[in-house]
Amino acid sequence: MSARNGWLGASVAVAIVAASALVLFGVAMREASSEHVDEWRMQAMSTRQAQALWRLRIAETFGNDAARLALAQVLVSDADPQRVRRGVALLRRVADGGDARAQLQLGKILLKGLPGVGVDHTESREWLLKAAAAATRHAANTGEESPDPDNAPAGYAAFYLASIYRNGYGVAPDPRAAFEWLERAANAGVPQAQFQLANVYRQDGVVRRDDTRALHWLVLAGKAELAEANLALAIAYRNGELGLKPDEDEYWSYVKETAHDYKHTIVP
Amino acid sequence: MTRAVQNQFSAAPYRVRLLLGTMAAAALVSGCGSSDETPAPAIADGTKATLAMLETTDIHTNVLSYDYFKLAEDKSIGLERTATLIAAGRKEFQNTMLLDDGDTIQGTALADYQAQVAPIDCNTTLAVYKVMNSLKYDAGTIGNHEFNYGLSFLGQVTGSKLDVPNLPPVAQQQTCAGPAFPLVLANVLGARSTQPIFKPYTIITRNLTATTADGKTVTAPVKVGVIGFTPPTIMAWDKRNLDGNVFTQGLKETAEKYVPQMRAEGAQIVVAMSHGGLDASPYSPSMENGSYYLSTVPGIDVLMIGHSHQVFPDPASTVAQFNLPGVDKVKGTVNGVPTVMANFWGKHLGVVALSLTYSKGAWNIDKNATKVEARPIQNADKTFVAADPGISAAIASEHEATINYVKTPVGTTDFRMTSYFADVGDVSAIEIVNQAQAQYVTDYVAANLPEYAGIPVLSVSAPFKSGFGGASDFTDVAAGNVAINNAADLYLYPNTVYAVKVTGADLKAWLETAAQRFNQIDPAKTSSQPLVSSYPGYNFDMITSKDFSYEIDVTQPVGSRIRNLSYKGVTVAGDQAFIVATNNYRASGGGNFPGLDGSKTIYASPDANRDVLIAYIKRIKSMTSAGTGADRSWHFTKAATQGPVTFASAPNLVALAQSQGIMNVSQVQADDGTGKGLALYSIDLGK
Repeated sequence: MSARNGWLGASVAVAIVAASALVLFGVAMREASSEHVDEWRMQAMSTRQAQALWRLRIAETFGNDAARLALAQVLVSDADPQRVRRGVALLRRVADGGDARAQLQLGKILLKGLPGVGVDHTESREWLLKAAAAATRHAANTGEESPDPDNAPAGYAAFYLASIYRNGYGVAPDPRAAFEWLERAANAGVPQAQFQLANVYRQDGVVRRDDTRALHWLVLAGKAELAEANLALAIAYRNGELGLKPDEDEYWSYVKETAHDYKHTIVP
Repeated sequence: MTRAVQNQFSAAPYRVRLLLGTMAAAALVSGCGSSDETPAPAIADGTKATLAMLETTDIHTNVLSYDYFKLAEDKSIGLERTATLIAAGRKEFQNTMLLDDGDTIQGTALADYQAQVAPIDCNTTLAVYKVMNSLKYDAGTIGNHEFNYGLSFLGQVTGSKLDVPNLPPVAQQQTCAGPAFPLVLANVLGARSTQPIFKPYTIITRNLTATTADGKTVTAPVKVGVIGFTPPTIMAWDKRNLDGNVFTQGLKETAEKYVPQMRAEGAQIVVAMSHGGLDASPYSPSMENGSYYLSTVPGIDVLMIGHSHQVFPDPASTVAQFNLPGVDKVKGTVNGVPTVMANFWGKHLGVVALSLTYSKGAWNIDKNATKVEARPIQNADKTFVAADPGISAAIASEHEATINYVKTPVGTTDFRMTSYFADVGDVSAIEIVNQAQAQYVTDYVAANLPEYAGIPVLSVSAPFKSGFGGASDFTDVAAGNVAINNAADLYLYPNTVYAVKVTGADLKAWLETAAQRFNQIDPAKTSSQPLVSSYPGYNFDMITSKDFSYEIDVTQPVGSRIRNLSYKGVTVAGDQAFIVATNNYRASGGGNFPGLDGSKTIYASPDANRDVLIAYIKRIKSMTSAGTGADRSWHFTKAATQGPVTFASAPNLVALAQSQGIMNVSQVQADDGTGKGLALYSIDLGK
């Protein structure tokens, strides 16, 4: 009888210790810093190995917000449509919670679709509008560093909204609205938006042709290593466009810069 | 079991890991501390020395002052000139170390030749490393571009055995010829091994020539630890080479792990070679330019940075990253840590001259007496320092082979391929480009994009050389052999192939935009009217296909000119789907074509249009006028004009136009009066 009690007592003690350890572990995972979550995300994204994914899963289960977003990002980048759908469901949860990065990514996915996830222009626009309202963590682009979508979700959301209004994806085409969104995106430092805005300024259309503005935006996008912008500058030096004097040396130097930029292009 | 323990360990929260890590490190240090210690030679307190750390970065295989695009000398670049600065630095300073900050093996035709055209074998040292060996580099790191040719090539040419899933087990890998100096990289890890794929750091013992407090010259050793970092963003840039094989870790975490270890192993000076720039936005392990945060890691004495192709220090710099709080662009420090960035392509040599004083068993850096400079190969009078003649001699055969390759015939043509009359319908220099692009995209869609099967693939291209710069600014490839450098004439710009999915209506709007190339012609006007507007030729996209036809009615205003668009003899419907092969510039918004803003791109290929063209010519071998030079998809809508309609081209080429089926042009004046060597032609739009 007493042996049995002892066994019972020991079992209870073990259970209490195990439960406490689990709670402590859970608390620790919930509190894992965003730097750690970023490292786990990098490993999971690159290796697709179970271990890195599990760390994100556990932290997510215990309520770590950064881990939930990171896990969603890993899942939506998978080739398996089922995982992509799970990632999108997670993204919705994070986006519902007001995270502009998740809203941006969801808006983008619904704009173009993914294996297993259909296009929904209306919902895409709703999420992008929410993301575009977010404050940006990154200072406006000064030229050398282009902010990534995680740092400037509002800017990138504005860029996709420009495309929606330009092309009439789920709305009536509205060139003026498209221009305004593009300008917002360019001001937020999105190099693709800066390049497109420069191209808008090169002809009369929704705005009057303005070579000075066009050059300004091309130079910014070029400094951010956008190949298309550096090529446009190369051509401008070749032909003496945008108020530039023809300059063979500058032409070749921009051609080489363009070739170099391609090795930094993120192929979607 | 080990794996399970390791998994739990890895999953443990940071504080626990830190504690365990500290304990392990302590055990390691105490375990091996006594066995390999040799008595240090006595160095008297107050002994002083200068140790100059020399940096090259982003050389990108610009070994010679030569431009492989132009096939001509370019004195403003080249390691052969930086070498002269290195030699001068070695004369100037008694003690030097030479370090390379990466982006070394890729970036010129020479690099592509040795990696892809005629890949070097295991016993051959890459040209750039051969030269670096002769320059006696002490160490180097790995930049993002080192990954461009894949991990197998990287392992081979660096003489490394990389423990990654897609390569054979390390035990089965050969050690190939490579650099005679260590390459270090701490933050790229094998996907399975979870260990750095290169040596994370190295510790180099240097015998310094030093001066004692009483003025005697002595030799005194110093141990210098060198650690390397590359941008974590390589995982996105080189996804196809790296996914599943490696992963990256943050710069700060990696440095915090290894720098104490390097110190424990005796490093008295620690140099962080970080192939990345400065970015003061909030730290994250995945950030591209994390070097700013390395300056905050205790124990790092010198930062050698790169990747941004910039010069630091430079008091005049307006570059944002050098105007951040804590960055001294005059003295060359980042949060007090001496820092240098030596531009790119050998244009500069970075110099960090450390002023060292020995005291109480350690070398101390006198930061106030330490000097940082980026020295240019261009002199104040705009001339350039001389090239080191030994270098061009050392790689003469590789250089020559590259040039020969560029001049190698890849096919033949039985007709002259030109753009002199591209504005009036000649497709002799354009159809081959469209065929190559369409074939490339067709093949890709068939192999990889089943959801787009059955959608017709078209291609557009424009005459990039259309006389803007004068009579010589036209594409002109003679009949006969076609070499790789001719491909640059046929496809001038460094674009990459993109495919977009559009509707018939989109396509019409696209061609309408391109048709801005022409002025609106008034048929009733009796005076002369110029046909071609100021709208650039490089935006005059056209289709050249047996299956597709359309008319351009230049008597109509912009936006209402494209008529009778038909595919395989049937009128194109507004909602009909097409895939169009084009380039990244156009697909991403270049020229502001309607609807082309990246959202319609279904394939953003990494392959250059020019390379796709070369591959296609190699495949079809012989080009004939009937097969690749005469499919005019578009014609001007016939209009009888009362006065002449004119355009400019190179003089005396009516016979050439006629040989390409352009029968309605005649030369009006041999000199059009612009001073560009152009003639004035007229076109009869009624024919």
